[in-house]
Amino acid sequence: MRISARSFFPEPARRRLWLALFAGLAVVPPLLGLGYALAYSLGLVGALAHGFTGEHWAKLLRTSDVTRALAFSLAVAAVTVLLATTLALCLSLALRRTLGRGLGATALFVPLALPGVVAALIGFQFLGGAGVLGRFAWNLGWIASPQDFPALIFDRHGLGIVIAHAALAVPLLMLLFARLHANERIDEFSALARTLGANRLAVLRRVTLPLLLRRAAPSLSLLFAGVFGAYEIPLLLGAQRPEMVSILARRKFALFDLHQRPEAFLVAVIYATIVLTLVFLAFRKQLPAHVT
Amino acid sequence: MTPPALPFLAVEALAKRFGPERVLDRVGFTLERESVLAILGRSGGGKTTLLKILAGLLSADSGRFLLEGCDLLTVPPERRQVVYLYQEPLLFPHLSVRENLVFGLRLRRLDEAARRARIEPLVERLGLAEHLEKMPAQLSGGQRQRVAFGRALAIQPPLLLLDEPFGSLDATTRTEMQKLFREVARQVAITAIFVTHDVKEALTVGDRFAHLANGQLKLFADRAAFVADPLSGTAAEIAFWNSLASQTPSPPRA
Amino acid sequence: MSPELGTASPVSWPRRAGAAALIVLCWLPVAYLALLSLARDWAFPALLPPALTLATWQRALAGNDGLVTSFATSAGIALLVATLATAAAGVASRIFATHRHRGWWVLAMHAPFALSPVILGTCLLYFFIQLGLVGSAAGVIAAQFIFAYAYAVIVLIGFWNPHIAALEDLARTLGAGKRQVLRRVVFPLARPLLAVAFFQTLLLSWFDYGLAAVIGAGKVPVLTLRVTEYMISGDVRLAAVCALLLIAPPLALLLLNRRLATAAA
Repeated sequence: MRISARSFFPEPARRRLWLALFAGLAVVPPLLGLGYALAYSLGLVGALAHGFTGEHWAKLLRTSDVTRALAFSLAVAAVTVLLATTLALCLSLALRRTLGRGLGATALFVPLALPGVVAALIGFQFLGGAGVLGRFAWNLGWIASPQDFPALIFDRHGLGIVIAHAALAVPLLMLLFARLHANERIDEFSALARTLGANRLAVLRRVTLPLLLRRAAPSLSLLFAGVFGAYEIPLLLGAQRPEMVSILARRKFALFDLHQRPEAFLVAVIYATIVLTLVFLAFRKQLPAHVT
Repeated sequence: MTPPALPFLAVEALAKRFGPERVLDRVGFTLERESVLAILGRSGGGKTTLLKILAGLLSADSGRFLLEGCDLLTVPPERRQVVYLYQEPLLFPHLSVRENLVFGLRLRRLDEAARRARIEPLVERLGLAEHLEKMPAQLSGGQRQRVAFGRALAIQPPLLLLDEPFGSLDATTRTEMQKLFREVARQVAITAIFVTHDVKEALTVGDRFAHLANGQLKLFADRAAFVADPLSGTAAEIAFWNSLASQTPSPPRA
Repeated sequence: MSPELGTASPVSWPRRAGAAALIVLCWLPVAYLALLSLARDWAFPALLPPALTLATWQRALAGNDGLVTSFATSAGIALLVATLATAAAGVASRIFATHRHRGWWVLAMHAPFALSPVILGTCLLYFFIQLGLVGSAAGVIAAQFIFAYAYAVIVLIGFWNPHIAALEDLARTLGAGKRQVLRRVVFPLARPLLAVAFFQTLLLSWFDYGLAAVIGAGKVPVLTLRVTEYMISGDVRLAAVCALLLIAPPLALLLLNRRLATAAA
């Protein structure tokens, strides 16, 4: 049974116009931005543009800070998602019943009210050498001075960035897994599997995890994209080098040396391609979901 | 010699295609005032499409639908005064039973007293008195269908369309509802088209009978003709029960 | 010894301890920020501040640093973005939902999120300059709208299902015109989800940093930018006050109605 739009827009021509308008609101700006970025990176537009040139893209083939930033960002995003997912799964499965109602479940919503800048502030205060953890370590006699505390922020490996993003993501993912667990009737399927002879580990491996992860895949890919393109936390907790993609793009754009601008846009194009592909792959299964 | 009166309802050569499939193939019939036409047919045979076209929720490719001489096919659904009852008792979930019943009356801007006067006899007949302040989620399937029925009757529509309204109910409730419908239809003198796949239901609720299959409708002259025709399946049913009776040994007398 | 399937097992103490630890961890950041904002001279290696004072808060709320203005600016922008986005998405979601290729439209709505706010802002800066929107609240609102609108459509499109369509059709056969159907059937049923969409878009704008930084060019003094300012200048106590101003409203709203958080994830 088709949902009828007749009640709003009887004439197909007018309906197509509104459809184009409403789709355009969300689709045109990114397309415009990407088009401009591509054109700029090819030398077609821009302050110092001479006309079509492949030199900026060719520079990619020789290892440059662009490739380093991309690799670094991808790694940070992958580690964050892996870490957060594992933690969230373990905690969610273990504490699902305990955190059912009341105090427990409410607490999980608190981190949802923390934006990137606040997480960065907390990260800075907690993970810095003279921060909360550092002071505990000093008081316990583990370190002699703040400099002895291991570098968790402003470090080459982006540990602080990973920790901050993962800390924000874990409560969100826990809530997601709890909801999926209920909606996908995991308990019933587990019981069914048990009657078919599966033990606890088998149930986990063949029923719970596949069902949960399959359903969570779109959200996890959006989380990946979010960390991949993060700005505030890397800005405040990250080292000068290596940089994350958004930081690099911004830096190269804002520099006095306009020759670096095409590289900023080049980064944008590559970033967008990766994320679009990822999102498309993750949401592909939901495409035929139109109402018939 | 006076010319023959126009039939109350006339459907002429109604046709509808969905892609290559001809769902309705020149369907036509007439119906007199204050009678119930029972249309028998299997699921997917075009019954719902026919009712939706008559209600104005779907457009026909060709044909005419005349109610009291006026062609309603170009009239939008809210002005046709043809109410369509679904198989699922669709009550507005955010309104109480009372508010559901008076929904159509509020639209017509009847005041409190007039609304109460309209629905009181219906509430009586349908046995809804103690459910008036409840929300739809608190009612059983049969109760909900009665509210849906009352809501439709409250606005006194010239034509009521029922699309297997008791299909989602259990057997006992279904039989009760069929009888209830029959009674209320007589008392309120409504004209209705009742679509069903169950021949017993058709025979219980109908005054006139038709069969719809593969988009083609066959109208029967009277009940006897319907029963006699193999399309209705009545003969097969009787044969089934007879064979069962002959196989079962009669209980020994005590 | 595994408990019988279906019966509730008594919760063991490690689980209770774990749950308690998790609850503490969730509230820790907020508690810490509160303590930090009230602290006076909290230097290494003290675990707790030696003294508490309201001076930082008094200074912040006095208005000289412009924090009250920033709060109002952020709030104004967020409310505007949320209203515009939710309204537009309400209509758009209906049009997309009834289309044959509904799934493709939903996918298309993810387009803005294919670019991080900073990157999209940088790519579109040229166009915003041409339109004269750089460095103004209007520009920030327009930029944030793109993301907020797309997200609101994703949230709201789930509302339009065959059940709602059937209720609409039913109301029409009972005599309701298009506007009456909207007013008496659709809106009452859509209210909860509209609240979710409004809240989520509000949050999106209220917490935004990248677009305010790039399109606002530092001239639009939203709270998120102020937190960063203080962090970079080393004034952590004022940064903590700013952070608390930033998270207090959403936190209060969330705690009042947790269902506002359940979105399309």
